[in-house]
Amino acid sequence: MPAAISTYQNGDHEDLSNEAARRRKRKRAGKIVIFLLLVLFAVYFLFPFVWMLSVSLQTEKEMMTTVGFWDALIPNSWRFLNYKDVFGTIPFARYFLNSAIIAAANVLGTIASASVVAYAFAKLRWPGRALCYTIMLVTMMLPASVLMIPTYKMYSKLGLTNSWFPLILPAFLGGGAGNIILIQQFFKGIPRELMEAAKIDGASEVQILLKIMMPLSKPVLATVAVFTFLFTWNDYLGPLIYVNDPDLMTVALALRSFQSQSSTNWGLLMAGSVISMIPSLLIFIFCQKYFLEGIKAGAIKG
Amino acid sequence: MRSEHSEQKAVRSEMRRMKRFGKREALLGFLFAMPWILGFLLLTAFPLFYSLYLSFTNATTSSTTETFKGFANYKAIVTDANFWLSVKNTIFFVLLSVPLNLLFSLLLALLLHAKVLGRKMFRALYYIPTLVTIVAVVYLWQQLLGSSGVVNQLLGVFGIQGPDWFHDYSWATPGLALMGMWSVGGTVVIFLSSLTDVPKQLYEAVEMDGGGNFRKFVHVTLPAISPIVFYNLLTATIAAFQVFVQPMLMTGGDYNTNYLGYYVYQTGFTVGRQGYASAISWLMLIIMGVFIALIQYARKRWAVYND
Repeated sequence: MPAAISTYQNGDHEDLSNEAARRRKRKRAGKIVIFLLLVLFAVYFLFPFVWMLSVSLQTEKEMMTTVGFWDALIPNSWRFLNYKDVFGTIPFARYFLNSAIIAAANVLGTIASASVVAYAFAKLRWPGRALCYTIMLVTMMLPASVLMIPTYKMYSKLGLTNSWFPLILPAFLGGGAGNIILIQQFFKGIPRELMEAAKIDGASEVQILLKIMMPLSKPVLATVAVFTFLFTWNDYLGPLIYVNDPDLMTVALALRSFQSQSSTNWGLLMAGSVISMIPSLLIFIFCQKYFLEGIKAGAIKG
Repeated sequence: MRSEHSEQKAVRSEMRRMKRFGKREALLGFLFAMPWILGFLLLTAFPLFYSLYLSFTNATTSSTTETFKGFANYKAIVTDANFWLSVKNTIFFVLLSVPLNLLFSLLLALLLHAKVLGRKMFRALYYIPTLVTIVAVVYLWQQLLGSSGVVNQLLGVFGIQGPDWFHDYSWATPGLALMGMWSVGGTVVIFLSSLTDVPKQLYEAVEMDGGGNFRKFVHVTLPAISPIVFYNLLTATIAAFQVFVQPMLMTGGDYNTNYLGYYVYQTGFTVGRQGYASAISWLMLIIMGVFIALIQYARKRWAVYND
């Protein structure tokens, strides 16, 4: 260290400013490289969507015959009718509605039941609370593959398969450990004095939850709602296992019907895929804040 | 004397009131936690024990009763070549896709962490693929990774003859791992937020010592984000072990993609041998448990917690 100080003291200022300028230059060059890399990766992440849109506007014949990259990427037929045909070939509107109903029920159930449970964990003292909390954390690591068969058999014995019941019930029974923990942590941050004051005014626990805790927790509830919607809307496995009746099918499940053993109608399949992601995309655009907060909070609790 | 006595009495009655109130609160606590308690008993605890029971029986989808067979299923699995192939393929997929995903998302997070133009927009763009339903993702990549798909055309520019990814025994699993890298947006966001939490003074200290970017990364960044690295490693490993919708839709479990999750599903639902499938799922749980234990051990050893 002393040696370094002495060189600085002896060295002239020109050397120092030259060094600083070089550093600044290097830093700027670094930033340009990083920016270019970010653009490159943006192309990587977005290109498949461009492809998806392109194929969604092609006829089946065009899809089969084009070979070159640019020919395949830029449609010749511009068949916007594919988007209409999606609704004509299969009852896509019906599936869209089905998905919306199931997603809405899940959002509603999760917000209601996860809030109630989170209140018990955050603000009420009851024997076994710590134990239950630990169990809840452990269940998050349990692989779904182990529960798949016995759960199906249970519903099957109760005659509840081939219905939406198994797809909706879990939302009303706590709505998932992750959601409970997320809300619980937010509730914990709300000062007790607010509750005490409300209690003196004669408010019941239910009223405290509905009139104080939940309104103050809108951001975290929005996060939970957004992720619950997204998960349910995109869920493939649940409907695959529990829904056989074509009338009960969801969008995620229905996309498969454009592909058969012998052939695939790529135009319709991609048009259907584009339509299926519109609700998620809209929610992402308008609720981006809640996405990012939710992901961060979810990781911190882990 | 008397005042002391009445004071004691007052304290005692206060305690009784507290106790009564505590009882009321305990009751309310149970009541409010009831949805989760019911959910846990009905949808986790019961299925777990039921699954263990089924694994010792010859239960099938077609019959309503089953008979107890002891360890018969487990004995059969040990000599089931498909099972061991499935174990091998699953572990290959996990060992390939987990490091790829983590390294790729860490790289993206580091790039996004630099203060450059439009980083918020890039972060949003990188996240969009996670919004797509898995069926659409699979069909899209079936095209992109086809024998004359975009990826192979790109490889062709560099003079590389790309494989027919999903019809090739050696390339189907790497293909699925590659496809998974498209949906790393969530992990990127987690890494990025952990990077913004690293104290700036630490970087300045390295700079004072004349350290470059590499030393900053190794001595400051990596230790600071190590808890998040292990968190992501754990969740990614659990997710990769269970992957099966992707191979189911992409290859039908063919071309060495019959991972354990898919083997359980296929045996339990398509074939309908629920007892046998349950036994496979428990062995899968044990194998996963070994991996999780190893990660937790490494976490205890290497992760740096400051609080």
